Amino acid sequence: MRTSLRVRLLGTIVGVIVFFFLVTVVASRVVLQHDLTQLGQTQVTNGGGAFAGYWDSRKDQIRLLVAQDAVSDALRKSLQANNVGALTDQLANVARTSGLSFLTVVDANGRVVARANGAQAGSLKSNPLIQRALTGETVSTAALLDQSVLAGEGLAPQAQAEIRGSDGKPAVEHIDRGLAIVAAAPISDQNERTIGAIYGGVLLNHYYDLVDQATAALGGASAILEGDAIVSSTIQQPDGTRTVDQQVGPAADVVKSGTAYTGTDTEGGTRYLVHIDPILDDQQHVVGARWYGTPLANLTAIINHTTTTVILWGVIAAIVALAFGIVVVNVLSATLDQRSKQVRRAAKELGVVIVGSEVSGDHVAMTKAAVERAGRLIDEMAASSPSPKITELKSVNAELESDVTVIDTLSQEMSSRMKQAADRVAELNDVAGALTQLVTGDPG
Amino acid sequence: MADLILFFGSNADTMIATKALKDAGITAKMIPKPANVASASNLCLSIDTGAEAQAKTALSGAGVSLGGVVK
Repeated sequence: MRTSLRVRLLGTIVGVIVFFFLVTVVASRVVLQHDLTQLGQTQVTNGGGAFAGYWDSRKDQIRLLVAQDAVSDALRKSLQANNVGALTDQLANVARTSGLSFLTVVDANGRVVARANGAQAGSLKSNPLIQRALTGETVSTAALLDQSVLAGEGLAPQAQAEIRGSDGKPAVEHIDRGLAIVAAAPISDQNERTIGAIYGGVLLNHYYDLVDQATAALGGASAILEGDAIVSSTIQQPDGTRTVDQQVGPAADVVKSGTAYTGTDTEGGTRYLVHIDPILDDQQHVVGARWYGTPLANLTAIINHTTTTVILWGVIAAIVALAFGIVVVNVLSATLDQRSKQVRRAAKELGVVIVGSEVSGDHVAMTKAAVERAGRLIDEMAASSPSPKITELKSVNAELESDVTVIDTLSQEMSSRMKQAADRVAELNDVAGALTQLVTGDPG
Repeated sequence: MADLILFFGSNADTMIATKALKDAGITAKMIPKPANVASASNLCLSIDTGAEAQAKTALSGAGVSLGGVVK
């Protein structure tokens, strides 16, 4: 079955529009996916940097608080007087108002004199930070506090946890140490002799102020990891609770290698684009990690929305283009059809002319035959009864015969030309017929 | 008149020459080709002898090649 030019042209236009449309949609989606992922990685890296800024700010704040307490006259006098009760009350007040998890005063030998959280005795002589503080140095750092230190401060229950695997497998690890930001500073008498030290900090296990503050400012979600396990976070579980006490798959390599990770991670059933960077103590040992991420669904939503918009407007543009194309094709088809019909009509009229030419040629041939016959009759008359009139008649007839010969020759020449013209017209007629069929599908 | 016969390579040339001479104001009569003239054309033109030079100029101007002249 032959399809008309109109159908073929419209089919081609539709094909081109659909092809262009598909290529545009696919290319837009691929480019968006690539560019937005890169943009997202830059954003979470910047967010991770900002989270680290909050961390450092908190560390400096704790250092400042402890340093201020170290020069407090009231604390110094209570220490010099060994007034444990007053010292304990003072430490408790300071710790409560400053938001510190613990605050402890030791004497010059590292023996615990008083604690904000109670009167547990003990010694912190072996604690490297206390040792440095007793030499007159004020220090602050992230640190892993072991069970004995936490127990002395009454914080062991806050730190202890059964850790689930990153795949949700329960109790793959038990944590009894705690990740904290701590500071220590020397306490001196009026003669600038070190008479003790003050040691305080914030235990970050199940402590949410820092991550809540970071998330409120930066958006997304943030978490603090002890080793590769989340001990504090704003990552929500499907039931709305926080994700804690759970390992983070990519964090194991961060803790092991000490290098940051930027990529995807699934927590609480949500896929995140995350930046994880290591937390180092004052000895540059990795003690944990900071996790900052934004839901990948945010990027996917943008990509899907843009793709949908491109498709919607593309369909509208395709419909408009198609409507325009239909009009143009119809006009072209109609013009071609009209012209080819004109050619066919002209060919038909020319056919009549050719017939007329043939009839005219036949008539000339008959006239020539009549003139030749008249010549023969004149010859016979001249032979039987010659006269001047017959001689003149013979001359006139000879001239007439010559003219008829010329007319006959011309007629044959024209007939030959007409046949050639007829052949050309027949070809034109065929072309016009083919054009009509091409345009309309109708052989006409 | 009719002293000079012009003949051409074809009947078509003879017809074109007739028109060219007519446009140039030269009287020409188309006649059958005499038996003593060798040409592919069956026709030739008869003109006055005095118009030969003018006829040749007109034919040259019309781009018609003259096959020959018989006096």
